[in-house]
Amino acid sequence: MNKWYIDKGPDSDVVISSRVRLARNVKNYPFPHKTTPDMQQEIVEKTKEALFAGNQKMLEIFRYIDFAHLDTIDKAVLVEKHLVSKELLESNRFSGLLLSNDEQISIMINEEDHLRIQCMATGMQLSKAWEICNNLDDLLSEKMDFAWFENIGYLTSCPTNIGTAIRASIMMHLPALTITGYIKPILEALGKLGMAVRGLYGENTEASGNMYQVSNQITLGKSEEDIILSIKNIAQQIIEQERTLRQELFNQNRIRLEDKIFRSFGILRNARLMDTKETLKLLSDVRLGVDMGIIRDIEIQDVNEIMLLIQPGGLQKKTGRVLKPDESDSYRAEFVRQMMNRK
Amino acid sequence: MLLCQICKQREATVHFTRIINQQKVEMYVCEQCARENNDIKVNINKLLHSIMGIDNVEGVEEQPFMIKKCENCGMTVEEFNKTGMLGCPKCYEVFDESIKTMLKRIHGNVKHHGKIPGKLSGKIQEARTLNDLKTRLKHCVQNEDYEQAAQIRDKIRAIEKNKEH
Repeated sequence: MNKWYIDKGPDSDVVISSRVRLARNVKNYPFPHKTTPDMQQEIVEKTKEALFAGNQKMLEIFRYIDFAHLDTIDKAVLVEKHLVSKELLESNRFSGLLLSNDEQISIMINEEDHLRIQCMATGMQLSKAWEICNNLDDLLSEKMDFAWFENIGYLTSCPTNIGTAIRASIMMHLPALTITGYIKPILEALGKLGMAVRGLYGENTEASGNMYQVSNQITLGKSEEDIILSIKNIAQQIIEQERTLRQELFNQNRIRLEDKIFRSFGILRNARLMDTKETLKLLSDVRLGVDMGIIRDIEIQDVNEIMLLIQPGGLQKKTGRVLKPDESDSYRAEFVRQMMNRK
Repeated sequence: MLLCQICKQREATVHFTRIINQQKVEMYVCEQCARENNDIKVNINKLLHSIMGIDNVEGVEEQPFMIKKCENCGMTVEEFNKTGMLGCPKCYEVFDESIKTMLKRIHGNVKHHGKIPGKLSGKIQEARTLNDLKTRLKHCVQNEDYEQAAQIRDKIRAIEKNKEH
């Protein structure tokens, strides 16, 4: 079955992917960091039961991954695909992941909260991702009671997530705004509007490859739909600005822009050693080239796939063994070369 | 910005609660007034705690909500301050006051407006709709939009009539 990221979504020239996650905690249990191993096991069983019992469709769509039976490579891949947090894998808790076949929908069990229901989609599809999460939450709620108070909504172990307990985020590729420096006031404004901005790999990471993750910080006092709408509205403005600037860069100095893009393309197609950071940087140029119709030899889906699979875990999964750093660089370069020369 | 209730000029950064005549009185004052006002006797070193809504004001007789520990999971205020995490759903009731202040700082608005779990939705949804309608009615009357107000009033009546049956 095709994975969700092998697809092109709306506004995909700027928005790489959309993600929604809901935090839920089971009533009458302490939050995960205060649970005993027995309780943790009970939560896992309850969740599986709520999803699978008498539901053939869900049995076909989802599988359960027990972290206790995973090797380090598989664990790294899950983290790189944003399906599991590093913190969870490092914790000694009894935990696991319910994952759909296309890897679009997941339920992480016993992380910071008992359940983290997550849905990802390509391009700008926050509403769709929310709808899927919401339906899954409804289904689970039929058999599980989640901790909820009328005035403060869904209870979470960290009060910053309380209320809707929703985190909606989009990953944006903003090369033109970054090159021209216009990104700075935008980032500042986003902070004032209650939005958090992060780099590609979540908290405390810098924006590598001109990728920015924008998400809501406020979870209480607004409805889920309103929270998503405000991100969508802000994103729409950023998208317009990015597009205008790209066109301007092109009009002002076409040769220079093309030169930059084709140089990066040339390196990716020929280099023999590539680290992750350099690959992401060059891929950003190539992505811009594909989006603007300057590079026609590859598809944007290929760029998406490369971006996800060039990380250490992804490469090791491909080669089937643990790689040393310089070995990784060599395999990475080879993989990128293959993908870039497919046509 | 919340203004100091004493000087009414500077921003209020200190929040404390006292029991006066069996009544809980909440005060928001600025640091300077807190320091100058002997009656309040704030220990400035403990000001930080007020950010989390934990009142550490000396000379205050009784603070009924100052429960230090959640009996259900063993979480203490100290641990919460350190980790920023609560131990269980019950903690939200035990540390209610501290959390409310904190939530206000993070979210600005302390009332949930999002999803209601399926099993509870009917009754709560109705109450929420009724509340929203009443707020809208007030706005309409203020703006002298009586036509709209009449429509809203009819809706409210319909819901309330339904409730009686």
